[in-house]
Amino acid sequence: MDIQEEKFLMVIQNHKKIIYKICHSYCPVAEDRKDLEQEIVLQLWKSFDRYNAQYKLSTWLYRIALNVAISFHRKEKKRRYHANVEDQVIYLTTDWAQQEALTENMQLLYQFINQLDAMHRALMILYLDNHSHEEISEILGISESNVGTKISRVKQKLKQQFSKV
Amino acid sequence: MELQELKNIWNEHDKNLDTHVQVNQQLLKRVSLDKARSLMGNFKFSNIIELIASAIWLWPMAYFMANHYAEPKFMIPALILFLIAVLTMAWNVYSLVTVWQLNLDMPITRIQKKLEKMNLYNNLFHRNLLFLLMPLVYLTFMIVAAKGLLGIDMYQHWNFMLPQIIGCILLAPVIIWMLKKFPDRKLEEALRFLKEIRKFEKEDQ
Repeated sequence: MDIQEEKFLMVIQNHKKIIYKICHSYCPVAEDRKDLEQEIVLQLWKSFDRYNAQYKLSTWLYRIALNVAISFHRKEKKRRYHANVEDQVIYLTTDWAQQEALTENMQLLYQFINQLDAMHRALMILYLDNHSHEEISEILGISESNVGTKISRVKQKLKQQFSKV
Repeated sequence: MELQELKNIWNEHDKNLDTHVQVNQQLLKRVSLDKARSLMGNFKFSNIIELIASAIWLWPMAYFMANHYAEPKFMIPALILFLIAVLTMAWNVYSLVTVWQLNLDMPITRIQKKLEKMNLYNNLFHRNLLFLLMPLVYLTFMIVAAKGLLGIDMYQHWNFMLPQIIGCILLAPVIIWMLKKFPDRKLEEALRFLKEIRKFEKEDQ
């Protein structure tokens, strides 16, 4: 394995949570998630040589992963086969996967994210991942004030949505 | 439930992911090496095939035009077919260059707009333009093919040609009606998403 490949594997290892969360937010169906994970990893690898150090590595990764996820989500891919641990790039340990399935709050949160359109979904992931308005605007390509306005709108929507919870 | 509470749930979830999310190293290496696959694979493939087919098509047309340059009745139909092939090739080259220049590490709204515009123009070109040109292609092709392959001058067979021309003239409005009556779902979807991105980009008051 050459140095570049080793570096790349390290990047994926260090940012696996981002890929996991993006895949779960754009693909509620487990069977599709595997394809999306592979597509994201592949596009990251293809773009790895072009990484521009003037941006943070996470900004670069979010942009590629979100761009791939949105395009994938819009393609309405047909499911070809069932996923199993062997063909998933990023997966949960079995014991925790069962435990996680029971977390009602997380299910609700993913449900809420899945209801948003593709662009607001990206905004929501970045916001929940504690990014500043400046970083969100850099990744999405919209102004900082627009980010602020949109987050306030999401807050209002949330209040309506979860008023009974 | 407030947004801050959701953020807390998300952060808690994030902490758990640290220890419970694994990377399948072997598969990761395999996927990374699979450079032939790509997000726009089908799009690139169909454009390359079209480009090759159009390039092949240009040669007999050029040959035919060279042989009949002094006969406008044959030269013009061949020129029309030649120009349609050139137009298709220009579109294919433009599409391929745009896709190859696409950097997915650019801001989301910029890339998504580019991708969707490609989708939109591709559908418009293939569905609307080529469909509308069908009657014209049929007539010109018949004249050129009959002369080039069989040595028959179709202008000498008006009893056969006239119904074909009338049929094509009548077919054109039918095609337009059908395009309006049965709009392409992909085209509508591309327009809807472009509108969605523009709305997202626009600063809310």
